[in-house]
Amino acid sequence: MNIRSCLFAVGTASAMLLPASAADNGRVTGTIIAKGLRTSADIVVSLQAPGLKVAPPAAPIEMDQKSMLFAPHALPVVTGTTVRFLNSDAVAHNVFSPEAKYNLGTWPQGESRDYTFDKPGVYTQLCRVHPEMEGFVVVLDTPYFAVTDRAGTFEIANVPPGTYTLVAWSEKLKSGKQEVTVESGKPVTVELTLSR
Amino acid sequence: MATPLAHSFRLRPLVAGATLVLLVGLAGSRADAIPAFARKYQTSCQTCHIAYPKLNPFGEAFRLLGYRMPDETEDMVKEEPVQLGAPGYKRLWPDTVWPSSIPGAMPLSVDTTFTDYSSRAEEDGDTHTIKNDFRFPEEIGALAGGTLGETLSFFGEIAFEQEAEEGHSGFEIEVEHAQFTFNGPFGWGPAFNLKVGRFAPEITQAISHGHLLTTGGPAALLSFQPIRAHGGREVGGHHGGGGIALPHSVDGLEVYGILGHRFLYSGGLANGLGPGEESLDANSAKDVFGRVAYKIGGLPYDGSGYVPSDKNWREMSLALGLFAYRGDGDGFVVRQTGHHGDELLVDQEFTRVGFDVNLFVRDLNVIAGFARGRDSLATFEEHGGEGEHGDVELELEGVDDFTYKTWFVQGDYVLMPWLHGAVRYEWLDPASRSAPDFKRIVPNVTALIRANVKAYLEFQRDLGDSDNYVVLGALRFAF
Repeated sequence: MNIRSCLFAVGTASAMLLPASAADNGRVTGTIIAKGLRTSADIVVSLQAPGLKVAPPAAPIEMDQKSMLFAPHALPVVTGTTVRFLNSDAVAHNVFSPEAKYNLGTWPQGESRDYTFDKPGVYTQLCRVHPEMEGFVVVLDTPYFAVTDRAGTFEIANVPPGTYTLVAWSEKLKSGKQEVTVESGKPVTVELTLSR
Repeated sequence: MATPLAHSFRLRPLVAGATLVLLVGLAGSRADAIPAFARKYQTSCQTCHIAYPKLNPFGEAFRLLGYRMPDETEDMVKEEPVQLGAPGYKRLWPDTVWPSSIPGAMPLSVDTTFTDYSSRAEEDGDTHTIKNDFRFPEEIGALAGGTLGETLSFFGEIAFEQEAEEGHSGFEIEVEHAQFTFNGPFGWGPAFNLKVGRFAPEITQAISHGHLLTTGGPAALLSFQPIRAHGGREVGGHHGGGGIALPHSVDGLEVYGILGHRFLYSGGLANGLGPGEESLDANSAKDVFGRVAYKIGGLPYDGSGYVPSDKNWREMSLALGLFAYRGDGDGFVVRQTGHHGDELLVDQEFTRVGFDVNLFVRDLNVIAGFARGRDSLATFEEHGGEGEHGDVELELEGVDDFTYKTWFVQGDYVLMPWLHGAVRYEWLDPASRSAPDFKRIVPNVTALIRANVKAYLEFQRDLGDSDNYVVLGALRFAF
């Protein structure tokens, strides 16, 4: 199971805790265009609304350090999720975050460190040993989210009917917002452009 | 007043022929086209050049922005840079090193010129004629240029020039450019840039090779010197000092910036006449220079509002520039051998003040410049033989002020995107002992065989009483 499938499953599992039945749920798909960037990948798209209740998953969600990169580059999770930071490289890595003000230390291949994100927000992940490495943990108060692929496409399934604010976050561009109304059993398509 | 003789040079008598030879050799460096940028952006030379290295208005903005496109976005840069630190580290400074990047590939380029050289030069009553001297190559330049993150840029050039003199030939190696620029530090954008190193100052950029179709800039403005040197050393020019003429290259610092999109200012300090005994500058006083310019119409200096066009050399614009240069040659003694015997001269203080004009009218580009130079020349008489330390005692005979005026006008015309013509007229009234009046006409035809390969024919003809000329038939390519 790859990272994206895992995220989809987590988001769906969280949604299944809500009262609406799955058969009544809608689907939101679309494209986020990152103007001026080489790729539209790694944009976190979420559906937000007041009063959404979420429950963090029981098992930690993994963020790896592999081939000198944080993988995934952008990891959305619900508030209260524990993220497990792995090291799959043959060199030691470090993880710290200037926003959350934690430093998990430095560890070798095969080991991991956990951190629980209790507050929503965007948390940059950096490595003191390799300053070029950068990743992001995006903590949300909604279980409905996805990450765009290289072309900027995304899909959020099992969304209960209602009106939401679609928020698109990019590390390099200004966030974009759009109101979305989800109807029972009907897909909704969104196209949004982000710029500097 | 007795002054130790710091340096001694034997000068050729200053007649028209010698003047012509020297003026050809010093009329500006020949670089400023960097194919590495074509690789970085996966774009043709024509994006920035009318006929390389002559820049079009967009290329001028690219240069002034520190070798960056106006409003450059990540997707414009096809050659991904190597990050030396993630952007997130900016928030941690000063507890960490500020993040930056380097080019993904070594940004090296090569620029080579093959020349068929012919000339006639009269010197000391003797006429020297050269017919079809194949200088293959005449020059090979190795260039590097690019950016280092968001606020740093660099440009360098090493030139290998094949020369022949007094029965010997070989390649002279010269570092023509080695500059490092801080572009808009502290978020100041194009309003403030600091350039350090060996570079072409803004006071002569507008009339230099990067803005003219011809092989060099106007010799009358860039190469005339009231005191001239021989014996393998140059007085000023681009070897270790700002020179007595307007310099096409200096070793120093320069601040420049663009205000309100269309106002360009610059000011700098540079090594003056040199070298000294153990230093590149002969004295501690630095030459100072500055220029202001304003552009009406066309693309602004910062390239804002750029709309690409298939005829990107065309625009309707007028740019006016005012410049000034002050040099201090005190302590730098030059021996000049002339018709009146040996003279020992010190150019104690010299100034150059002038203006330049750059007019674009569709396919025609008219470039013109005027300069008035003033030199305070101190004359010394030599006494006795060499002292204990090899010094010679000098006695000041007097100080005289000399003023010269010079101007040029050049028209470059795009006949077709691959075919260009140019003609330049230069005039110099030296008003001093050192050289006769100088008038020259320079027609040129250039054909772009490819965007990075050009052939040109150029004729440099002295007018008036002189029959001196230079004919260049050349093939130049860069990659």
